[in-house]
Amino acid sequence: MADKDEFYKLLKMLGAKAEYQINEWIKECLNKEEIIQLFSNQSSHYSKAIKNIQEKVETLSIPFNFPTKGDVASLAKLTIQNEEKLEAIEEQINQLNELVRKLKKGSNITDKLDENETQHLTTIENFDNSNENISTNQQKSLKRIKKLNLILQNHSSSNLDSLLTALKKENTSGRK
Amino acid sequence: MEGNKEILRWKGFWSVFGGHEPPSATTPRKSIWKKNKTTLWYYPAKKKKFQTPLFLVYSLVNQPFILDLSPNISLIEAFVDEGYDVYLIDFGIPRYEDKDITLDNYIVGFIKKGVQKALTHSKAKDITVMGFCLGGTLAAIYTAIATEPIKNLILTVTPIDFSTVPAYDKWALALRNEKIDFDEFIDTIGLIPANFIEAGVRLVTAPVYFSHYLSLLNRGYEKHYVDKWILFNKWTSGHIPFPGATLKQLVNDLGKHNKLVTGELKINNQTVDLRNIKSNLLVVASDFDQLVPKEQTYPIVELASSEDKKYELLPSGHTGLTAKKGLPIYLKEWLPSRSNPI
Repeated sequence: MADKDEFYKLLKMLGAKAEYQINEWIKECLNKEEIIQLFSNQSSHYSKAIKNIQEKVETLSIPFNFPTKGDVASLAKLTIQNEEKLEAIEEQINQLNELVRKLKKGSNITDKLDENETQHLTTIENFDNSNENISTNQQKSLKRIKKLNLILQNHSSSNLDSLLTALKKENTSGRK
Repeated sequence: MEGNKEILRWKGFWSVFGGHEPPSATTPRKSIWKKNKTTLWYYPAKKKKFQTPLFLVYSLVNQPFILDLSPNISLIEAFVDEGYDVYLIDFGIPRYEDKDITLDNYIVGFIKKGVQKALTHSKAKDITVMGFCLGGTLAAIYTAIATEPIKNLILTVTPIDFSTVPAYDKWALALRNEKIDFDEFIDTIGLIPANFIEAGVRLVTAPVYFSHYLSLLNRGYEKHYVDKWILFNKWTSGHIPFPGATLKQLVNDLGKHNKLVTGELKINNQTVDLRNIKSNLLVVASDFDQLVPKEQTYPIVELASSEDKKYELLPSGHTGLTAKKGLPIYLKEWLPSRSNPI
């Protein structure tokens, strides 16, 4: 039994050696200037021939009324484009959901405002403080709504992405 | 007894031609994101021990089921058993409508998006990106321009420096000197058929290939070996079509101009500079690799800015690193301390 096992091991070893030598010989034969030149010429002819056939088939597809591979691919590409658009919408919805979740959680739309926004806020606060009929909680809510409003106004002309980024930025810095 | 072994040996040998196929990709998984033909698979850890999940990127020329070949011969199963959450981006099988997919699309549209999805899904602070062969090249390109928190980058048999080639140096020279041009051919056929890809890989490695049958005959009496052989053979001959637009970029930008090393490669108009890689880096290469020689794998170690980097050269071939039982020792030693143990 050991003899037979040895035989198959030897067969495997000799086979692998022979395979290696044959392959090295083939690689050496193919790694020559003449072969490269031949390939270069042939691939150009081949490409032109294929292109020619493709054009003929495309022309024939009109009277014979059959779709070509290109037609089917165009249709598939439309589906892929739609999928990409849907994905973009889905991402925006996710971002909005995340924002709503954070707002519901009561996280701060923050006190870190720029100079312009701070000035606006001071005006709002002065107004709030002067109005004695508004309770502290109501004042807080009002302040919060106005801060949000301020951000929304500042980004009214920009797109949804930049608005979301701004709101998120405010939200994040508020958490810190 | 001896007669029995011989009967089993030949029975095992002939069984591979009978269409019997053992199950593969058996590790439990679920799809968490799909785009075109790409799927992001999630393999939950059996008992989670690390906060940093793994994100696997496989090559574009073959199918990633080699990473989960069969029970007990599966890298993914080994990761899951060790306590890692694993995400695998499976690019699927391109069809004619995908012929215009570029390298930029793969990096930004699929890998970057996939990493973002994996981070959101796992709620992890950072992630380990692991690339195999050409998938490693994509992973390195992505990491160099990533804005996501990539804690570790692991590259397995990954070609980076194309100034040296495994064979056909005169062809490489002719390509660089513009004596041959593949663009017209690639543009004409659009999607490179799977058998062209297989022929290309075979030409570089072994144009004549029969030694695997001798290996089968040598151990045909072992059922588990025959099963592994069948699956492995299915994988080695299971090449997939390749989008022409991506191939053109790889041939011209990497093969011809070696732009990944010179720092001239652009993805979505963004320069890919490997010096931007600061993640912990593990580069694994094989000493007897006929497809990706070690000279192609090493330069990233010098180019990357990572403070923590390691180069591991193993005595195996191109595919010997993935289809094994359990985690390879070099990963067992390197990865846990860099994956935020719980």
